[in-house]
Amino acid sequence: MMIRRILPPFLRRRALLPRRSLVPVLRQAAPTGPAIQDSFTDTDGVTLPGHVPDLAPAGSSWSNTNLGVINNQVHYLNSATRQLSVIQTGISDCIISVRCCQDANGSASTGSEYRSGIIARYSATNSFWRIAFHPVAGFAIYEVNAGVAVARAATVFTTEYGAFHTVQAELVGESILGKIDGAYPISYDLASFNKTASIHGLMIGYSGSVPAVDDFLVERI
Amino acid sequence: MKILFQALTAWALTSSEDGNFLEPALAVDHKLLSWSDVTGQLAANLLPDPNLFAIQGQADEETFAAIQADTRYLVLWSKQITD
Repeated sequence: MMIRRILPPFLRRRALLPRRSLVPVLRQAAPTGPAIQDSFTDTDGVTLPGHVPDLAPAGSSWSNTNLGVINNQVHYLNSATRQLSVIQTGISDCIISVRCCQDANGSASTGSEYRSGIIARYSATNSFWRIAFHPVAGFAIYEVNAGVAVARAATVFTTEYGAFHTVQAELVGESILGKIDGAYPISYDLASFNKTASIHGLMIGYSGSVPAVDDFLVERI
Repeated sequence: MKILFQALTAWALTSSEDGNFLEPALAVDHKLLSWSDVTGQLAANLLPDPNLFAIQGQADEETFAAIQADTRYLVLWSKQITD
């Protein structure tokens, strides 16, 4: 059930004209090497904080004990929804990619309608960027700023349950470019919020739908 | 043939199983192929009484005709694109 209301009454509003006239340009920064790489190869049941990434800066570790490794992928260890896990990378401008599956056992359920993807430029539990897809409601860039979630760009995207998709986010200054499987480009070029934050991570949907995440990579540019 | 355009829209607050978020009312009322916020209002200024803002979007011809006919929205410019 989606409930929408218009904010505010349309009349009497002062319009803000575009700060920039943007023609979509598909950027592609050149990666110069990994800062974080993790294939989540570990013993089943190890929590993400207890798991050591394949490659990470000294002292960096994953957050969130609700998430852990099963079948060499990130899965829920406890029932929960919309969990995220983040890790200090040391860089704010980078290319992040991760493989996400909405329903790893291939069995659709009504509770599967949650987003999966990338958390970028995280500074607090209610302040970060989210580049994520929903099984039927599209692929979008969200600014979550002091708890206020704002969609900044979106495109039509649907997926079948059980399929893995590679979500990618290219972060350069105030520009964010998102893609799924190298396609469905979306961009937002006024991303001043948290632009120097260097903690990034992943987001995974509802535990009951058995979502999975694999192959997290942060590349320097 | 698709139409690339910019238009003024209000914000809409969407509540879903996946949490509440703000999005362009135009994108709620008309099925766009894609869109991007080109005004960039600060999130702190959006509740409870945000101003209108502009998006740049892509739509098929039929959807764009419906947007033009919808008096709640003002199209700033548009052009046909082949991709």
